[in-house]
Amino acid sequence: MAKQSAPIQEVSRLLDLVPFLSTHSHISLKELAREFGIDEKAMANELTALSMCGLPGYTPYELIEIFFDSGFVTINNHDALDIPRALTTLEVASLLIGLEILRESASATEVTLLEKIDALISEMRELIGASIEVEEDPQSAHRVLIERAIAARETLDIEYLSPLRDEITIRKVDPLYFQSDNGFTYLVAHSHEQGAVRNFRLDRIHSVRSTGSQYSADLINPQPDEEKISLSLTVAGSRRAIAELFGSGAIHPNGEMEISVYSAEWAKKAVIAHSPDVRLNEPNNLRKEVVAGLQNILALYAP
Amino acid sequence: MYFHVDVDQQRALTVSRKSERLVNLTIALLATKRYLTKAEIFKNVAGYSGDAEAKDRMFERDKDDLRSLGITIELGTFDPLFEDEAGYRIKPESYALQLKSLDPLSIALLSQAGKMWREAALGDSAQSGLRKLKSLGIESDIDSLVELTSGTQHAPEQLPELIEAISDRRRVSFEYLDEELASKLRNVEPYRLSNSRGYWYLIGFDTDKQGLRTFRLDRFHSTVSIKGSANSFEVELTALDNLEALDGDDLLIAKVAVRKGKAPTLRAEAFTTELDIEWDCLDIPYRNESLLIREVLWAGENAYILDPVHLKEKIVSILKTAVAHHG
Repeated sequence: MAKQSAPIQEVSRLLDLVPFLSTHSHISLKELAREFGIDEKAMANELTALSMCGLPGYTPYELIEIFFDSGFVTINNHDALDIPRALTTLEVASLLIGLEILRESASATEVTLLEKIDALISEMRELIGASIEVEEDPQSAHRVLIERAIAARETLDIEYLSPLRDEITIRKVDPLYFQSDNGFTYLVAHSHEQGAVRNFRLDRIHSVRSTGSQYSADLINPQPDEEKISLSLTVAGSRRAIAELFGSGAIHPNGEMEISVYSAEWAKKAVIAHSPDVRLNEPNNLRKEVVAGLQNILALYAP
Repeated sequence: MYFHVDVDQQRALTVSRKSERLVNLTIALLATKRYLTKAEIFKNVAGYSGDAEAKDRMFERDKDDLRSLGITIELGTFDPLFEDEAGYRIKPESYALQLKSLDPLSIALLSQAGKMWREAALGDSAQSGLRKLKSLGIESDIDSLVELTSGTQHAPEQLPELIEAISDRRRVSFEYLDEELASKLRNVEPYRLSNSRGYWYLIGFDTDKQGLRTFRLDRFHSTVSIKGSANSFEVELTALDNLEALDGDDLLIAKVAVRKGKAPTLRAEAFTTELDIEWDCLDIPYRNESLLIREVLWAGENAYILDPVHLKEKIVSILKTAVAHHG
């Protein structure tokens, strides 16, 4: 789509101003300007322009009338344009995708709400030829549940895929807040099991269940006590997969990559899984652990 | 304050302003009950000046501009006996908001849907769409609606162009990062956009590779260029129904030994039998050898390949190379 020129955008606003003003009589100039995303001076100019438009003849009887009443705007004599315009492809698409995401976040028990959303979705799908799908996204559904628990200070049971143990385990946690790092989202939560604050990567959370009991935030030091570890790697192939794995595109042309991670154990597994495309150079002790890990796997294949 | 501008002065100002001419043209064509001829438009609608040829050019541009705003000007005749007297009008039903029977709850839902995009690529469109809905004057029923999601959505910047290209069936081209992070120009007939597990994907026909391909939007390395005119391809619906086989490889089965209770990711798509008290045997379907080997290596000492033999040899050689690299 070519970006619309300024006069075309102005026409678009002028046409939308008429039905908006007719249902929002006595709106303040300030609020009107904010609604249309332009400043008050520009809005005053556009209202002036609108007052020079009307039906052929263009006598005062045919022109649109705009009144300012101590900073409040009213419109008159606007019948011809008094209909909200059809939604464009992009307007339909943005609302449609939004509805689909809402649908995924709504709880299955809210039946009337879901039916309403479905009816709107199918009506809007018919309006655009574009094929757009939003699949169920467990991550955002979990996020909604966890955000509610954070607000209510509620302890949760989460099923977590432990990268260290390579198992799905159930953890009792007091959720504190979310943070992003290297493109991943982490839940920072107090883990009952470890008696300490830990980071849980959102995409490794398999399910979220409320316990119904509240926790007291005063007892928790909200800073995770895990320190990040700096790694130095050399990437020889599959650069895209490795950049995405570590959540960073910063691979030098010669293959060198510096990155820091929360878990040395996870880094070791990641390096082994991407053999032989990536080599861990530093830290030295972790490099030795990688070699030991590789040899242990090799031992499984020994006759 | 009332705008006291005398009519002559108004006409002078109006003539000079393109946006006012376009609004006046829209009003005239919407209000008319019959088709207006070009001559009538030039005579009556404010803003058309110059000789016949200049007015003609102006009118053609105005029609294109209104079309770019989604306003369709219909060409027709009001008297079938005089077909040369073709005229123009805008049908109110094609101009007006399409959504019918909106109630306070739907308005509240749509406004939550639109507000997700506050800062993202689709934000402006959502905002202008919501404005049109607000103009209906239907009170939004916010009270009966809990906030379903508080997060804002991140729409990739390429999303608006791709939505329009799919809708208009126009070809697109863009720079795309290949497996080695090298940027390559791809030419695609866009078919479908889908959002799955936090990523946006474009599915389309790659005209250079002559096949369906899937592209992840965060791997785009440029904006999207629109190529050529609308309706320049047909969507191959049958191919879309069989996306699994996109890369053209056949579905094969590998047998993998997995320690009991371990490696949940490998188990997700597998058929499991017991090997002995310590190990299970998993039949894992796969299309791509490298991806399967990677999955097995993620499981570390909890998994090893039993069959086929050439995969087993391949993973052993990979492990030996990696040991040598790290030595």
